[in-house]
Amino acid sequence: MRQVFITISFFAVLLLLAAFGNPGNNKRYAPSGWPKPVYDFSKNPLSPQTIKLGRDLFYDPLLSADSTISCASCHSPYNAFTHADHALSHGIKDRIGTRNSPALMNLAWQSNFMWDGAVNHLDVQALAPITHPDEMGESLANVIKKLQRSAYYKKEFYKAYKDTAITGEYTLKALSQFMLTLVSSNSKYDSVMRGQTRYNEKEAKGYMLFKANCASCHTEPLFTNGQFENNGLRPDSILKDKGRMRITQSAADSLKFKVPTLRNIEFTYPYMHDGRFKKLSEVLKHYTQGIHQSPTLSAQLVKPIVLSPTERVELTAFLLTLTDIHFLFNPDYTYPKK
Amino acid sequence: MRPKNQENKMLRGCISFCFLLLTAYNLASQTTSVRFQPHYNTSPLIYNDTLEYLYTNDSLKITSLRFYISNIKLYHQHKLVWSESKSFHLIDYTNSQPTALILNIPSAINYDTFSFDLGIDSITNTSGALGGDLDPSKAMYWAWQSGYINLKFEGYISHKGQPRQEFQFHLGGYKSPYNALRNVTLNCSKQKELVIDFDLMKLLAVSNSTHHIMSPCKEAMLMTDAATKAFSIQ
Repeated sequence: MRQVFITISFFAVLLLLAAFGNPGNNKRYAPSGWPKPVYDFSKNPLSPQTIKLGRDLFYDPLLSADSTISCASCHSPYNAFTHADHALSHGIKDRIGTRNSPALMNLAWQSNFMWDGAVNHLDVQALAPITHPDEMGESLANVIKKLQRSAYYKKEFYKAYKDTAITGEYTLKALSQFMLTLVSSNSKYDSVMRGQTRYNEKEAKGYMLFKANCASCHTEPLFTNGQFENNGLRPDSILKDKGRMRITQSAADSLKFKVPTLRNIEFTYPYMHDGRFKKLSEVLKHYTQGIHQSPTLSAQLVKPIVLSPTERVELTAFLLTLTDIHFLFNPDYTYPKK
Repeated sequence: MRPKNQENKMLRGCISFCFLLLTAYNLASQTTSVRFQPHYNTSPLIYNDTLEYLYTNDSLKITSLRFYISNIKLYHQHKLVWSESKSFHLIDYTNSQPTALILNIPSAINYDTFSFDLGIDSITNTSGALGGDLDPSKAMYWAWQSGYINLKFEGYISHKGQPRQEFQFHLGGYKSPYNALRNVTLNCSKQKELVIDFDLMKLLAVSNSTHHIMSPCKEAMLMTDAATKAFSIQ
């Protein structure tokens, strides 16, 4: 009887440990001092086999109608998982989309996805590009049929889920797991915050300017507050993109787009939801001289930001400290060797 | 420390008792089947061998019908007496006659009301990728804007000899002000086979001028309201 009691207690303790936010591996997921992730890991606990499957899928053009476009086509590991040098991305048959590819990092802290927040959960984000006619032009049901015909994927799905079935749920959750591993928290900025190194003089001044002028929307440590803002971009007469308003149908959301992260900004050009700015200098010029007034303009931008030429150099120097070479060159993130 | 053979006896006793309980429970529950029978006005839609049309006449051709039923509950004299756990079912007429739902209702329970939601609740809508009937590969999930499609109804309609027009109704939406989830409550008597009629004419009667509803909106809510009145039990 006592042995039974001890065994039950042992399992009860294990259950409690598992219940308290452990994402599935023994390493702590959130960097020290960061807010708690929004993603519910209890519904999709990270496991090496599922991450591997997700990575295979992420880099596999099989997800597209004509097997030419993979997730990595627009989210390249060499460019902080965005589409460098492309204002708008092209999908199958060279079709052009209407928005700039966002950089994928720190996704566990996002409560919605896409520039207009159309997607409410990371697990279902992949549905949007997979089914969009100008991106991958496929259907999830057909992707599953293709996966079921592959001996390799049949084996990998079984290893991940211990189930011979290949389902939409399994496919999407595996992609999520790989994407959740893309955490960027080791830039020079992070080292400074941990007390491991110091800014040089320009960077230090730039950080002060950043805190005074940018941090209300690009809040540390994620460098986004996750909100939708109208940052004064002149509406594009061809794309006619109303941003968040498309989703909420509310005029108060006209021209508002999600505040993107500034992490790895050195490598995520071109900038803005339509990629209209190729260089950081153009971005700073926009914020100091180019704000377009409209009823929904962010309250933080109603008063113009003033920066001298020297201050622009300093602010840029600080922004470059957000480059995380450990993230950019992590071999676990790049093309899988098959 | 109790002697070993006394411990064995206790263990055997426990196992036997559990087995008895299980058997008693199984004997005490009754499987009730629930089937939905779509109609167009009074004509029942019978799935035929052509495998293409659910219903055809000169003015109407239905090519697709699928909807979610969830949150099944039974009431007796206005009191809740039973509810189904993990209650999500996709009733799908697209490729074949859907199989009936099987509910394990304890036979001791009496009920006079059958209640269900037409569609998927908002918490499930924000829970990401789910499995079974909720799998996003079932073509009942909006890819461009997260959320389940509660009801898909497609076909062709022509009025008084005019060229026929395609209709496509994808009814959904879980967020205010376009929350299209609705409850359906029907009086019924306790029975082994429940057949719920569903009159599609009531949906077409409130169709908008373009005969297209493809996103959460006022028209989707209006048609869902009409759909709730389309269900009946004989």
